[in-house]
Amino acid sequence: MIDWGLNPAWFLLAAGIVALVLNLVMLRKVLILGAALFGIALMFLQEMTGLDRGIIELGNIALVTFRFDGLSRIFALIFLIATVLNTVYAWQEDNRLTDAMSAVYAAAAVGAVLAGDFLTLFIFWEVTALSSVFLIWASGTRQAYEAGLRYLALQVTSGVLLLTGALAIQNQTGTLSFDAINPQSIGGLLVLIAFGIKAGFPLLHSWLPDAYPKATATGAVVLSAFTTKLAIYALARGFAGYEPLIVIGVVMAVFYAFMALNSDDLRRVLAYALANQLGFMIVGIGVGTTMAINGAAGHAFVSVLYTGLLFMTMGAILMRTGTAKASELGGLHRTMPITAVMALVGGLTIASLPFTGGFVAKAYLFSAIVKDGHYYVWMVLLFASAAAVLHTTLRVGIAPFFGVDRGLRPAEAPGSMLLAMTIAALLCLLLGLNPGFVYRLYPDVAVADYNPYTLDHIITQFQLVVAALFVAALAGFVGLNLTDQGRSILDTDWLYRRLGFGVVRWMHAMFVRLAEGTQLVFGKVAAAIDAQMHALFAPSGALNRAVPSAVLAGWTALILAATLLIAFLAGA
Amino acid sequence: MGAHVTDRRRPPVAPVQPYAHPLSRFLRLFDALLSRRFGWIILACVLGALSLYDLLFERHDYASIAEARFFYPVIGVLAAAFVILVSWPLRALFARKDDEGASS
Repeated sequence: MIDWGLNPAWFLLAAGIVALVLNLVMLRKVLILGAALFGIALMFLQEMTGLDRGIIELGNIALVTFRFDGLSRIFALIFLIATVLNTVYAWQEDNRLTDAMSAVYAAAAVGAVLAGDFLTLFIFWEVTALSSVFLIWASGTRQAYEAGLRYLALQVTSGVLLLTGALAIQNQTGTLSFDAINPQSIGGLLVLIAFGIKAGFPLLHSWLPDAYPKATATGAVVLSAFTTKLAIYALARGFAGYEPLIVIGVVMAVFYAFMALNSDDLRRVLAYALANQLGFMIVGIGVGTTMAINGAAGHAFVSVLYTGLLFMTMGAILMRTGTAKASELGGLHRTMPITAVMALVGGLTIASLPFTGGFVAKAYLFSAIVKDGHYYVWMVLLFASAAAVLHTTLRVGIAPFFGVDRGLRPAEAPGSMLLAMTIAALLCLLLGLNPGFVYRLYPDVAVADYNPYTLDHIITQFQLVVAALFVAALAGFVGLNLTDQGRSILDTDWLYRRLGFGVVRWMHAMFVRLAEGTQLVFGKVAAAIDAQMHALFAPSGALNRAVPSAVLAGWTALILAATLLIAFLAGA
Repeated sequence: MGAHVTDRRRPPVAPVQPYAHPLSRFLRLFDALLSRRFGWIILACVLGALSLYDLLFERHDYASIAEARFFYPVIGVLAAAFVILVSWPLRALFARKDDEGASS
């Protein structure tokens, strides 16, 4: 039996596959854009029809390919909105492979959040990995090729762990249904690590700052939307209320803030900033109350918009100037004023300035965290929020445009890029000005009635942001630079860049020496054997030497006597 | 894939724009406010004005500790100062080129 359900993923997947063989650029773009818009329409149609399940039966296995509930709805919707924005942003780009792979990647992400069982989740999980790597490789540089390989290795590892864990869970519980998971079991632990790789858990996150800055200008925008948020969805579905996640989230929020502040490549800064925001969401999931899960999902929804917007602005700069390094950028507002305003909106949204979507989402999440009694966690997250003002608002949203003029005078970004940025910026502001828009999408609307706009709350948030900006400005005034030129501080990529590479080189050197030593020893033994054989069998050897008949007759008689003696003794 | 890769950085796609964009005039004031000489003074004034609220009104917050006067400005200043000051020795100890150790 096959019941497809009204799953937007199928339409987007079909559009991606057709786009792969479609040479007409405009038609390709329209097809993908149409599929994404149709998918959004389907999401709203779902509410009316009440069709919330799709099942494909393959023999004894029933794949639940479509499960539509509050949690999957908010993630699927933002993925589809991101697909629309990404397609508009890449409108001027003619690359059949990346167009198609972007659509397939988006379809897989939507399919994964709508999956009702582990097997379906695993299939879409792996498709996200396999399709997205082309967005990194499309840069065409050696660095991008190598980063893509590392990215793929980790993503596929995540998939393998997910499948292994899922099978272990099925062995234990008898079902492949993807619901709350017991993290104490081996299967649960494997699945948690699989989700953790994609969510950028500390020590498992190296692929994020490694791959995102190496992708194409448009590719990084697409990458920023799906993989990590899919992991957030999966954690919220499977591990809500698992308290160690609070610690992991806090570490992410703080550790990545330092890394973001100390990177020169602004797309690397954004990769860390993205991971830093994931920390807030993971804390919410660890708290696990209905309100906290709402907050985590809502924060993920808004963060897709503002991180996407910020990656778009950096993509435009990269496209126009050939660099995204903080040390090489400044004064761009003179020729790129629209991009400057968009970056500023993105920067202020990530800083959760009142009247932006970031404020609305984060206020709700913080409220949920405090209501559950996690005061210290809340204070650390406040600290991380203030740090975000420095590493993203200031360094990405302001410095490239209003910082020291480096003499760059590039043209403004192309119209399609500006349009996508404008839509994303307007959405950030619209969600901020009307919190009901985002709160109504929360998984459990019963506890989504919240008013972030009290005067106290608005003023205190302004105080926090302005205080952080003041310190940064003061640091600039006394000549304390926020970053080194062209340098970053070491991350866990040291493990493969230095330690791993060193170990491989050492092993290679040892292998060469071992091979040489072995060759030497075996060579000598072989030479000795060869010399002996030669001495025996060569024409001048012992066996071919002329022997007198008398001696031979003597030897023959001796052997005959010995044989007779043995026969006699044996007979006796 | 490997046969098609290159190490060359792509040149900027767009030609250089010799003159300022007409819309940039609207950002001049903002640019001036952010200047290194005056930016911190302006922000100090804004922060001072915002902090007056704590003196004039009794706030109600999530947690009782946050109801203390100047809680948020202090947290903001401490967090930013801590991050900047800790980053300084961190960079001295662990700074490296962005792609150091990569095979290319």
